[in-house]
Parts: sequence; structure tokens; C-alpha cells
Amino acid sequence: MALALARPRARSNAGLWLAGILLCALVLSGAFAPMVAPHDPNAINMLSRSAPPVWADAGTWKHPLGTDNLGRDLLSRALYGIRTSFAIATLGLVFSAVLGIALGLISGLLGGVVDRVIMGLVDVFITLPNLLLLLCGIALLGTEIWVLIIMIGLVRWEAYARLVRGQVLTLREEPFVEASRALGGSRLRVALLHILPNLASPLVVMLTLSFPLVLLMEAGLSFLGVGVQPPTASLGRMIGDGRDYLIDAWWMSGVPSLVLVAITLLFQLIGDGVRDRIDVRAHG
Amino acid sequence: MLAGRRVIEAQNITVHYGGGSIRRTAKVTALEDVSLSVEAGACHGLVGESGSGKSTLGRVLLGLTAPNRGRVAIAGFDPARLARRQRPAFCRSVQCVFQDSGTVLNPRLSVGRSVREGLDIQRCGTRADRDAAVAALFERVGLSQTLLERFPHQLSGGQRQRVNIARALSVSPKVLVADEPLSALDVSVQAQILDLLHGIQRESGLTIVLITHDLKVAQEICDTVTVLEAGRTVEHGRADDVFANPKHSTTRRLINSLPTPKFA
Amino acid sequence: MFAPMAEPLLTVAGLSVSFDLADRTIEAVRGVHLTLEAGEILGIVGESGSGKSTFAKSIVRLHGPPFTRSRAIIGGSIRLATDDSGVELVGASRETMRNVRARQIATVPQDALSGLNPLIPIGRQIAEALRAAGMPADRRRVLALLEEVQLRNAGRRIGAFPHQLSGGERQRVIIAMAFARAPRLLIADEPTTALDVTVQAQILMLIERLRERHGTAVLFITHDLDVVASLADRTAVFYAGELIELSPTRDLFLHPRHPYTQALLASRPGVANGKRLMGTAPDLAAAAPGCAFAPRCPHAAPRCEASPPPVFHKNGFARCWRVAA
Repeated sequence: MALALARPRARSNAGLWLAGILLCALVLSGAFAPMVAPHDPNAINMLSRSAPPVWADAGTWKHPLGTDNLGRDLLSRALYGIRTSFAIATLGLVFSAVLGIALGLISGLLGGVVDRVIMGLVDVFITLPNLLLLLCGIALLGTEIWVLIIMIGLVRWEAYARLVRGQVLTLREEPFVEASRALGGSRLRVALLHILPNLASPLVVMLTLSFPLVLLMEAGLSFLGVGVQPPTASLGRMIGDGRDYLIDAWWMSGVPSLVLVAITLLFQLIGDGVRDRIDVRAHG
Repeated sequence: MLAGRRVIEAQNITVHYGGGSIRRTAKVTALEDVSLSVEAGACHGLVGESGSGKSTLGRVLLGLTAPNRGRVAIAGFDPARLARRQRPAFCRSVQCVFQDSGTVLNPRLSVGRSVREGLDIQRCGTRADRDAAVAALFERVGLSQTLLERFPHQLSGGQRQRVNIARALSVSPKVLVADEPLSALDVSVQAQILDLLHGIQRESGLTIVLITHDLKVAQEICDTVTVLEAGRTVEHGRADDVFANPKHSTTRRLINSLPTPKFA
Repeated sequence: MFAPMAEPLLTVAGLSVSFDLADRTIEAVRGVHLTLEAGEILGIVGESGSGKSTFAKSIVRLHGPPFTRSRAIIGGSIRLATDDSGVELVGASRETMRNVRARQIATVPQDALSGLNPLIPIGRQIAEALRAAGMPADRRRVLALLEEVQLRNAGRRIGAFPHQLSGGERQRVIIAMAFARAPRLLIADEPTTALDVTVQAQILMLIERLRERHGTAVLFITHDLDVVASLADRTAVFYAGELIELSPTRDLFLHPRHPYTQALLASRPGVANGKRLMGTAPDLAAAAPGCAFAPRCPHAAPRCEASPPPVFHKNGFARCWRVAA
């Protein structure tokens, strides 16, 4: 009946919009860090070491979020940190998605031996602990930023490959795919015109939901000291730097931790919102 | 009327599913030694209950399922043994229409684009020629031009099924295999689609293979029918004869199960 | 079978059901009046979107969360006669509705799989129905019910899960659950649409038997006119949310009064050269002042579009200017 198509009155979009605006503000201030940051993030000033944030006793507006043990401005470092972390996470995500989507499509459409080989690889990558894989890669290739990006891609591609392959197996049995084949459509045509566009919604949802995961992965590596190398600021690195000063200068770890939590939470909110709203049939 | 040449000739078709030597799945016989012959320009009905193998036979004719045994000749092709360069010609000759299920058209393409696809694949004329051809096809199946840019979910089931038929007709096929084209549609819409198929068959000499579980539908437009049960042919012949004097118990059972008015 | 003086089993008066959507309000059922006698089979026919299914669901209130995503707004009155007196179902408490669903009104959905819990063996689900209706639920009773609905090898399959049965067998299990309650009313929403004709014939027989055995009245919703002709005592025709004709089945089929009913009957496959019904059903969000069928009606006159047609009562009723004249 027509009522099956009935959708409830859309819930207020205000929450989603607010999350979007906040996230945009964070990302933009990170992207334009050189212009907005009040100080050089790496400028050491031993005279103002471990200055507390402005709202604490003895805090000053010169360093609104305080300084670290070397007197570097935490606000500036956090902004630069967002920039580094976002760049690594975005590129890692894109690399993993491209690799995973391509392999998933090939696997689902060709089937047979190719499918079994690719799915075998997926199984191997699922079984290997992520951290172990990342550490091995870094140990072999060094701690350059591009190594991080590639390793994050290699850890995450299997999720996309599995999603895409599963969807392809369902989609290729659909009558519109069979009709295209019956009209003489080639496999490439079927893949690009009929299958890929119908994968868009689950992929968008998966991408938004897995961004925070990748961001945390980079932060974890940098925290352990095998990610971004000093003096470059990254959120994980800053949290790691501050762990010895937690009692005397909690803000050294606290400020980057809060930023990380905020970004992750905002992404999660937006991802959930997008997932609730995306509906192939309703948007064509 | 039925003295013409045969456009479909299928002999001793057998199809198994499963029975793999590695996974030891149970072997299921979908079709067992089924033969079929259809005259050019006729409407032939494949009727039977679910699981009778009628849809599998349709898929064999379309080349979507390869038979384990037996030979098919349809419009001069053997769909199971098509050479690569024969494929475009085969696709121009044999087309299909499926049951309306919501995914019978790509949800991401406008319906006009879906109908154009056959022409795109077969590289017919310029883009403008194709668009004109699509508009003409819409006219022919009784759809308004204003629907060209719509998406499938914005159409009713009957309209989708018309689009579906337009897509199949786009390449001017000789044979149309229609698998339950009326299921999931309202009774009044069923009649409209049935009239449309019937009209197209009469005016263009199209051969139709109509797969249906509905004996009333088969009775209305089919010239000849094959009744299938559990993968075997139980009866075939002229539709009038089969429905008037069913010889096999399965056919009788199907006919007797049709609801009869209380007041008759 | 019909107790002449007694109150009808079901009295529906001025029933309307609408759904509030994001951008518009859909009036799925508009001002329906009808009565159903005890033990009567009433066929309800109409095209998809005609409101026939919504009408039936509103009786047992299978609308609104958790059953559908948008909440239905139900107006009017639905009175169900019971032993003591009667209950008003519109606006009844959840407790009352639960009781009504457990003891008085059983439903058979189109897709029997959705009516059964996939994780529980069928025997236990039938026992559950017995218990909900306040009856003892031992294995012997469950088995008797399964045999009543002629499930093959009932003894061995009492522990089977729904997915291990065929569509027709699942429908039998659903009907066994209805037998368990000996309900006053059975609402069957397209119960045989997905089934083969041979299975359909058997399911229809079971429904007739339920009526004979327990005096259950049946609301049988279908788009298949031939099924209605074979089963129903009276037939109601829905169009665009309105009940436009209600007649004894024989009269409806032999002498349809409303032009829509005439067109619908002529559109059946197998009716050669009938004056087919053309066009599409109207948008339920935009109610016309006059007759909803006027735009498609071959006999439409100016007054049809201008004002709502009068209801002509005689041996049932039809809602049409032409019939009244």
C-alpha cells in the first residue's frame, strides 16, 4: 500500500546542522592554522613554561589554552595538530576506500578464483591485529607521513571490500542488472552504471562513520611515538607529550584530548544523522 | 495462424542446481527433459505453480541460465553457446520483461535513461535520434512524455511495467520473454498491461513467451501453452484445447482450484 | 446463523484514518459506515491505495509505532459486540486492545512469515496464542489445532521453525493460531495473494471452516475479485478511501451499481472486450469536493465534480449520483 512509503515527519535538523557547523569551524581553523594561530606552534619560550589556561588561576589571555613544558602555545599547537591529523586521516581514508571499493567490485563481479583470492586476503587482514600491522609497516618503512597514510589504508581497506562485495552480490541479481545484461550491456557498463551508483549511500555512511576511527588510529600511533615525529604537532603526539605532567599541568594532555573527543563525537553524530536520512528511493 | 515457422525450438532441456562435489549440497532438478516449440508471432504460455520450473525455462531461453543438457534454438541462436560477436545480435532478437518488484528499473536512473540504455548499448544513431526513439517508445506503451525524467519510485507499478516493456521493445526484438509481468499489479492495471502486450504482439508480429501462474491470464492471450509441474512438461497444446479438455490431472487440478462464484 | 434482533458484531460509523506526513496529510480512509453480522464473510475489494487495508488495520489498531513508522489519526467509531455488552475500539486503552487482539479478533497477514516469530518453533507459538486467550496450552491441543488446519505430518513438524515450512503451510499455522482463539472476527489481509491457486483453494476452505466451526465473522481483503465471488456473503468496494458500494456478493457481481464497480469487474483478466478501467487512482492528499471517481468515470456529469454524491440505500448501498437518480 501507499502507506509503506509513508515517512515520519522529519525530526528537527537543528542538531545535525549544529554538529556540522561546529565541525566545519574546527576543520577550517585547522586548515588555516598558519593564519589563525596566535603563535608559532614550535616556538620554545622557557619563560612561560607550563602556563595554565586562561580560566585557571594565573592564566593569561596571551596563551588562552596555556602552554606546554617547553612554553609552546597550546592553542596554536592544537590548531596545527588538527591540520596534521586531519590530513593523515583523510588521505588514509581515501586510500583505503579506493583500494577497498576497487577490490570489492572486482571480487563481486568476476567471482571464481579472483574472488577467492581477494576474500582470502580480506580474511588475513581481519585476523592480523591492526596495531601489529601498523607497527610492522612503520618499523620496515620508517615514520614518514606517507608511510602512515599507506599503512592506515592497508589496515582499513578490507571493511570497504567486504561491504562492496556483499552489495555487488545482491545487486547483480537484481532485475535491472539482468535486463541490462539482456540488452547486451558489458560487465564494465553494469559495474559503472548500475552497481556503483547504487553503492553510494552505504559507502557515504561507512565513510563518515569510519573517519573518527582512522583519526584515533593516527592519534594512537603518535601517542606511542611511532606516528608523527617531533616537533610537528599532532593531537596524539601532544597527548603523549603531556602524560608525564598530568598532575602539575593537566592541560598539556587535556586540551588535545578534548579536541579529539569533540571531533570524534561530532563525526559520529553526523554519521548517524546521515545514515538515518539516506534513502535511495526517496532521493533518486 | 499456427502454420508459420518455429522461432523457438528447445529440446530435452535439463537444469540442475547444486550437487557440487566439494560442498555436497543436495542436487535439485529444476527442469527435466523439457521440450518446447513456439511458432513465430504466437503467444506461448508457460504455466505452473511455484517451483514448477517455468521461470528457469524462461532464463534458459534468455541465456541467463545454461542448461546441463539439451539444445535451444531461439531466433536462430543458441543462447548457451553464443560466440562473443553474436551477442549483440542475440540481444537485439530476444528481450525480457520481469515482474514489477521496485528494482526492475535502476533506482538511480531516470526512466527515460533506462529505456535509452538498449539503444546506447547497441549504438543506434546519434544521441538525439535515441532520445526521439525513447519518446516514441513512451508513446507506444501509453506513457506521457512528462514522465521521461522521473525516477522509478515516483511511478506507479503499472507505469513502471510500461517503462519496462518500452525498454525491452527499444531494440525491436523478435521474441519477448515475459516472466510474471502482471504479478504485484492491481487487477485493473493487469488488464491494461495485458491489453498492451496483446496489442504489441498483434501489430508487430512479436513472439511472446508468457510465464505466469495465473491460468486466467494465459487463457486470455495465449495461443499455445505448456503446463509444467516439478520441472517436467505435463501437457502442451493449443490454449483453447488445454483449458477446455485438460488431459493431465495436474492441469485439471489447477483449473479446478480457480475460485468459482458462489452464486453461479 | 444471523441472530436478527441482536446488535451487529461490528458497527463502524464515520470512520476516518489519516496519516500526518512531513509535507502533507493523507486521508487514507474517509467516513466509512458499515456493519458486520456475526458469522458473516464480508469481502473488501479495491485497488492499491484505496484504503481497504488501512481500514482493516485500524480495527485492530495495527497502525502507528511499532507497526508502521507514522502514527495514524483515527476518528469515528468502531463498536465490537462482546458477551457482556460491547467495546468501543476507537480510543480504547492499550489493555483493552491487547485483550481484543488476544481473544476477539484474529488477523491473517499476506506474508505469513511476518506474522510468525522466526526464532520460535510453530508449536510454541500456537501454545502462546492459546495461553493469551486464557486457554490451557498442552501439546495435545496444539497438535489438534495443527491437524484441524491439515498441516501434513503435524506430529513431526510441531517443533519446526517458520522458515522450514512453505508459504501455504505458514498460512495454515497462522490460521491454526486463529482457531486456537475461536475469535468472533477474523481479519484476513490478502492472505492468498502470494500463494499458488491450489494452495489458495485450500486456505479459503479453512477460512470457511473456521466460520462454520466457531461462528467467526470474516473481513476478507483482496484485490482478486474472483476470490471474493467464491467466498463472501456481501462485498464492499473501496475507492480513494471511501466505501462506494456495498451489496450482497451476487448482486454486486451480476448487477454492479456504481460505475467504478462496473469498470473494475470489466477489467478482470479473462473478461474479453471489457470497458477497461483507465487512468490512475487520485492523490489521497488532495480531496476533491465531489465524487473521487468522477475524473475516470465514463458517466461523469458536472454535478459529480461539484458536490459529494448521495448515498443510495437499497439492499446495501451505492454512493453515486447516477444510482440515486
